[in-house]
Amino acid sequence: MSKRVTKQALTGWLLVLPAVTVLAAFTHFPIVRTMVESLYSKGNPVRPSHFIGLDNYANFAADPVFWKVLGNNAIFALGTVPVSMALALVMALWVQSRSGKAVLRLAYFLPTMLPMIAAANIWLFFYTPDIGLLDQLLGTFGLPGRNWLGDPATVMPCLMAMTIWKEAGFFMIFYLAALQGMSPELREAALLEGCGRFTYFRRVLFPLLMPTSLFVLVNAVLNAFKLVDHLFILTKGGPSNASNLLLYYIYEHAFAFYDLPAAAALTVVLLLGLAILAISQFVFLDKRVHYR
Amino acid sequence: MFGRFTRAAATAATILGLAGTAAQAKDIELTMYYPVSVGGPLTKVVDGMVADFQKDNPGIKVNAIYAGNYDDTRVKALAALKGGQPVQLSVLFSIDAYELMEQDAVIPFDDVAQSAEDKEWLKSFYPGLMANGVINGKTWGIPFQRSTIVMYYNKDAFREVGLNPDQPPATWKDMVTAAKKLTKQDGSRWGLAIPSTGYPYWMFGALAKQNGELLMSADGTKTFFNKPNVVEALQFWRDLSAKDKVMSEGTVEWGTLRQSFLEGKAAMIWHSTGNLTAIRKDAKFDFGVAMLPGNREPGSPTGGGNFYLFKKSTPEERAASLKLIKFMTAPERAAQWSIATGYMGVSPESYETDALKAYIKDFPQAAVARDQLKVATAELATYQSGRVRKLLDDAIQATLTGSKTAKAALDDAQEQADRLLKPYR
Amino acid sequence: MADIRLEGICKSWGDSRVVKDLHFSVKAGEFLVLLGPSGCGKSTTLRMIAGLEEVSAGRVFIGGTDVTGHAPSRRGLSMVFQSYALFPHLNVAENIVFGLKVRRLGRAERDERLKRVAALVGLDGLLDRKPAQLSGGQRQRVALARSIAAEHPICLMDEPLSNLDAKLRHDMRVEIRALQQRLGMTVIYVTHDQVEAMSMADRIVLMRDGRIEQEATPEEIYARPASDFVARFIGLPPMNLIRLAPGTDGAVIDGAPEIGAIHPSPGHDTLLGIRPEHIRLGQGIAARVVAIDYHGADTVISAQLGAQVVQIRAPGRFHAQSGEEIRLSWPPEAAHLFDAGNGMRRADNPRPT
Repeated sequence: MSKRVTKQALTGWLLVLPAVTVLAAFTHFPIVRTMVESLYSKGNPVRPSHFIGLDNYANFAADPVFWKVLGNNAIFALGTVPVSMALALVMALWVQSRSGKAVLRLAYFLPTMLPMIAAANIWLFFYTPDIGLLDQLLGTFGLPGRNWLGDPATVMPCLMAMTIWKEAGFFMIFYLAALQGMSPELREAALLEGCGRFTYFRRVLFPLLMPTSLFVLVNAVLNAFKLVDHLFILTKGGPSNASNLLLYYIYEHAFAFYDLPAAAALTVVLLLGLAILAISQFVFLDKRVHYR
Repeated sequence: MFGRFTRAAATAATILGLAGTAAQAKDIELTMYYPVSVGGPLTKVVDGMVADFQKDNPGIKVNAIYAGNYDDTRVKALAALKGGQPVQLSVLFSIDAYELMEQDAVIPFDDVAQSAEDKEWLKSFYPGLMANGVINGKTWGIPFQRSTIVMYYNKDAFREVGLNPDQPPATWKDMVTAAKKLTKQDGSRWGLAIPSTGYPYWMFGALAKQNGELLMSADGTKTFFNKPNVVEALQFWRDLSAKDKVMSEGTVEWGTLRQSFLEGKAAMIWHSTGNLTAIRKDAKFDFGVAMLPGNREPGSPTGGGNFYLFKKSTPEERAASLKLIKFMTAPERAAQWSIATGYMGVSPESYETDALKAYIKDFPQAAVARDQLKVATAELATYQSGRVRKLLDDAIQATLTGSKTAKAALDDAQEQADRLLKPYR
Repeated sequence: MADIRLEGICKSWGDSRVVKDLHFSVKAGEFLVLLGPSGCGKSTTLRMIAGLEEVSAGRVFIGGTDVTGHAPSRRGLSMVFQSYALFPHLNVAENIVFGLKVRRLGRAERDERLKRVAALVGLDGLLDRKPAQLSGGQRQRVALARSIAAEHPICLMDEPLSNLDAKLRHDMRVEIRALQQRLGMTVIYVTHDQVEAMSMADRIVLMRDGRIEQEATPEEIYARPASDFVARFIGLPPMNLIRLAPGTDGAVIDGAPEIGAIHPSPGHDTLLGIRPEHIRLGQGIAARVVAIDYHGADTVISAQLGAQVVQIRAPGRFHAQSGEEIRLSWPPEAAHLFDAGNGMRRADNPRPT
């Protein structure tokens, strides 16, 4: 009996072994390595790296740029996530009620298919002062142009607008899938009970889309911290860190400053932050969201 | 069974290995990364020069890989090295020398160029261009795509507002006066634009030098960011938009500035000489090139890329690399490169070649960079260069966008730079 | 007040005409079943009455008012869907009072109705559950409760029992019918199940290809099917339709002239319909047993009669070997005659008892 159990357990372990190996090699091990690395100083052949405990973290705690970057990321997330989600839902409702309008769906989805770098280049053309599309458009109305990306007051909204444009179409797909999986009889039942469009949305559709919304929310928040490509093209985090985000700051430490331990420390901070966000989203919202 | 197989394999490997070595002695393969940071089809020019070199040197094969801007190229070259891929030489930022030394990635040319002729060759370049490459008495970088900052100006616009198109402003005061005339009130044209993204510290190096100060010590262990004249230089830059209203508010984008100039949205711009040929090709108006105006004195930092030799290479590869670098920087090639790009000829002899002489005669603007070399200074280069540069870049941008005063921004930057550089003193 | 009248209702989607010129009416308090095979247009008709589907032509009257263009919620009716259409995020109580809340009924009234309705359909103690935690029968009750709570005089039901197992289906049949009678609701009930139709309906409208095949009480439809289609649709096993041929003294069974005339009519293009339960065994014309299907209370015997197979329903257990000869007879009043051409009931039918 116990022999059989042992054998069964062994079979089980053997079956998951490939997955565990891959996961350990490409996810767990690098995370642990990063954590360990973050406890060392930047080394070079002349002065080798040595253990410095939490000094890297302490340095960032005292680094105003770090806090600025963290704040930027929070603003970026708060500014992009709700708007792109709302937009995604509106677009999904709009597109869904007009079946067969594949062109419309494609139009909304197109920004998502573009690589971020390409999208950023398009938007750079919009934002360039004087010769950019935006300023020329303003010019035709006799309004003065702006230095959109060169002004700390406008640079973040500019990045956020582009991100929303890019993300909303992607999230729309999830909402669209959810809407199409919904029984039309629910709508008819609500209709018979005297529900208007809005009441139906508020009382039935919206609650039923909550699991999708949670999924999209988690993804959107993670994305808000993971998107970085556009910074390379548009601002390089400038002017004066006004648009610097955590991931770009990590890049700067790793590849511009060659301070891998510092980059590792930042990565650990990012990882912790994202983990806490994701877990809290799932734990606190899960119960209120799932109806089955 | 297994043992026999291993032995046989080992024998085979030995034979093949020997054969391989023999083949290698004949055929050397070099990999080189290089950046392009200005306009125009520069990769074609580099490919053409490399092809010429291979024709002359049948035993050497060169993979020249375009890798983006200076930062990208450094990242990629070092990543390739770390990944175990061979990189024997590269064109990298002239100011990356300290970083590359600290990473123990490069060797000085003195280790390889040991013949009398080679030593002579090391001395054949403009001293101003060697400033960033010679550290502690050793030559780490050989100038290749080198520039200074020059002022491009729209002669048509000058004529339009009654300025003498053949007499560009030579002082800050004249420049501001001219810029005020050139600026259109409706915002359709700015009098002046100095780019402040990408390489703001480089432009600022010019302003500081013109105000009589260098930004760092020669050994790269000290910065002088908050000296009064340096603060004054930054204040002047800020005032161009805040007080004089001749430059747009906020930061000015490095990458799109050339296009703005070509479209007549900026009448005078400061930019790399490396843009000269591209601007000449696309300008639909009469334009001039001038040395940067001075205040206490004239001046501009040099800039651009140097050849570096990487440590991870065999003596044969090093010799071949040197051969390639000598080929690429020889007077005729330097002249060809200068004509094709606008980068300067790296040696006085290059300007003595018939090709460049004829070119300058036809297009005198091409000589401005060379003439400015007399007053040129080294580009900001220190240990911890990435961090130090970012400190200064942030301080400049913070001032230009009005979020900090010049004094406060530079005080902060200096304080942090001191902290970073203390261990190196 | 709660009577319904359909006048010339049509529905087409593109070129396909699904409902063709339908006329019928339902009296207040009546239980009307729309019966027919799938695709006959019965559900579409129901949805047009509800207002969920627009009519292509014709008018719908409820309580004498033309409601053709009215929104579903303004027609004063409730509906029970095949899938129940319960809101999965709401618990039983919330589902039941959903419409009342939407219509801004006072809280006291809501609670009062909820209590009453829950007791009525037997949902006490389940009010806090979510639909996913209920069995099929319980969900059905919630759907029922929701439509009752609305207190509309009319309730439309679209195959409400088709997702339940046989036993539950029977119980619910009885219950729904009892509820309808107790509350005096007008019900239009769509089904393809003749048992439901026969056991629940006051009146049946049997549809075929978008048209009414017969409109009658269950008794009438059983006793006097208007066509061979109706005859085959109602009854289990369905009515035997035996092709007749002309014989010397009258119509003979096709393929078995030796039996002799079995009906005085000429026998041209005529179908003779006899329900399996009306055939008696023992004496009469000869047939050969083909198969025996034992059901417990009765046995269905398939027998070769001339060129065709007929089914006989005999009480209890019937023992016979395949190939064995049996003799069949039926009372004259059990015979139905249909025109073999158009399937219509012929005028010279013997009077039913």
